[in-house]
Amino acid sequence: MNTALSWIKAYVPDLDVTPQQYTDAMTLSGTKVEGFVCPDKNLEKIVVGQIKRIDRHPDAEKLVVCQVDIGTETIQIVTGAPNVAEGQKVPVVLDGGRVAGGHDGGPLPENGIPIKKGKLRGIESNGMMCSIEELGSNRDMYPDAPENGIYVFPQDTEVGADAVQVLGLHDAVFEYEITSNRVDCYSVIGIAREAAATFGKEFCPPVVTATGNQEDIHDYLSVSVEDSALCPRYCARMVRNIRLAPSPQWMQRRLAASGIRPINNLVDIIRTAHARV
Amino acid sequence: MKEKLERIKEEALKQIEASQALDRLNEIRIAYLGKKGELTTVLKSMKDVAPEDRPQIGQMVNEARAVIESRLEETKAALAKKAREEQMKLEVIDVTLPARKNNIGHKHPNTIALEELERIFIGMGYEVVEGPEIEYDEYNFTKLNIPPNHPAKDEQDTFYINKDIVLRTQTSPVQARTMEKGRLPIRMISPGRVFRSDEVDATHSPSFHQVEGLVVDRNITFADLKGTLAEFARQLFGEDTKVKFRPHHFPFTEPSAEMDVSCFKCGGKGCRFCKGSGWIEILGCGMVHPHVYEMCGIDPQQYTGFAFGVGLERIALLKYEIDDMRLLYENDTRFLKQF
Repeated sequence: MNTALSWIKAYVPDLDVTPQQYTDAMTLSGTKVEGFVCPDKNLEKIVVGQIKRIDRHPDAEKLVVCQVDIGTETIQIVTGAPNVAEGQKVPVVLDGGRVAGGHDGGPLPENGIPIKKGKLRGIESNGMMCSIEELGSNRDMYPDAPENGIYVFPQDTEVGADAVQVLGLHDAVFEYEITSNRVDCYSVIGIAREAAATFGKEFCPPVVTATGNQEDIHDYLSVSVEDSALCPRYCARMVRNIRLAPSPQWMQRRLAASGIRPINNLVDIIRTAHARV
Repeated sequence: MKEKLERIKEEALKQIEASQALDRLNEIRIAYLGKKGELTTVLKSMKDVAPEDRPQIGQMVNEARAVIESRLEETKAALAKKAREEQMKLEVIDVTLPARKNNIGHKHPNTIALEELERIFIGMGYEVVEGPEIEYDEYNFTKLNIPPNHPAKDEQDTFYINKDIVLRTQTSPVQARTMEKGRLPIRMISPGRVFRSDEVDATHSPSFHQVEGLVVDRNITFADLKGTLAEFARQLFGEDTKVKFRPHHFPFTEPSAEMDVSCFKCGGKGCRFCKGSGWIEILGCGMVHPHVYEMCGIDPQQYTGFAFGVGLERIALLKYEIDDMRLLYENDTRFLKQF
């Protein structure tokens, strides 16, 4: 059972503790935390940059030289990524920063990979543009990431912003050991309730208000229960005119942090509700 | 005739002198005294001799035969004696050599750990009780407040003999047995082998050992549990050992807890041994659940008590810093001698 601290905080707004404090207090109050992982552990000095200009590299066919605006200045970065284009907003790791891993998607080294400026085939490069793998994640959790190459932000992303923040990676994901007498803790709401009680904060569970029009569902569907011992209760609600699309970023991030792969809005809504309650 | 006899006799004696081996002597005997031997031939040809000479010839032949035979016997005895002496020289034992050593075994770390535990608890006034390794499902689960189809039964992978008999998965059934006997108060520990269907690896084995403890009396509280186990930890791991109790869940205790001891390698600062946390988990415990009392015929309004269970291999592995449980089951004296 994994939950992200950010999702807990959605229902306990005043919760302000470090992951270690959370671990210790929850364990002592009965919900044992086996451990936690911080996705931003090895990510440093990564900002949102915009590619202003791309030139061919004079000495290498597969490399290009980009002028990237990072808000405070424009820096030159040499890259071999196949998907760069002028105008894109991309994650840029600056000189002296760190990324979680290499772009081959292999196992992440313990302390990440430090990034320094240097020369690629004789041309200066003052940073690196990152793929989702280098940021420590993968396309399962970020389905909008390109298959090969640098991660591209939506056009409305602010240039110079903290890229890790935009990606929703400033978080801690906790793993719990839930005992069989507390199955109410197998949900995010259950854990949030425990967290609120442990830290003495207000618990604000999500409020669901019924929506819908006055139409009678029996005009559209008919269901009969054949064996009420096996099925004591059946409820259904009908939703029409659904258009499948990716879920909003906040929902995708929540699911990904809990180890659930975002797929599309319909599947994600179901999985969110399932994990939450 | 006479000369012939003399000649035969001389020849025979010479040959006997010359012979070195017993079988050579045998050959000579056959050659002279056998069915086709020289002397026998002479005896056979007696019919050619004049009757008045026969007694004399006969006597001479017998004389010759006697001489040859006696010489044969003598030589045979001498040769045999010589052979024996040679053999004895070869087979001599050097009595100054050291004796062959007796290989003695050595106490197993489990036994050493168990004796240590017994010493600690007998010192607190506990008695040591044992129970069967093949146990009724009733005692292993039902009487411990784990009814059939309870989810807790899935948590432990049990070996079933048939639907009523199992290989016990914990030493807790001995609690139920002791309580049923009806003699109160109870202060007991019960060591024993338990069985769970686990894959064999460095920390798991299908067969391992636990030590169960149970105290039932009037006015026993959680404070008694904490005090007893804290003292036990200090006796086992050192005077400075600290203990920590975390809430947990067992179906047969309420409230339940798990106890950690401060890591005796780093004193609680965090090291590889305790995986950086400074604490090592060693046992589960709790106050006995009222349902368990009821099923065993004790009135929970009159009596309370606590129980705990500790893995024996865990104590041995911790105390002696062995990192692989499988070493405890190989019974290699080179390993055992180290403790």
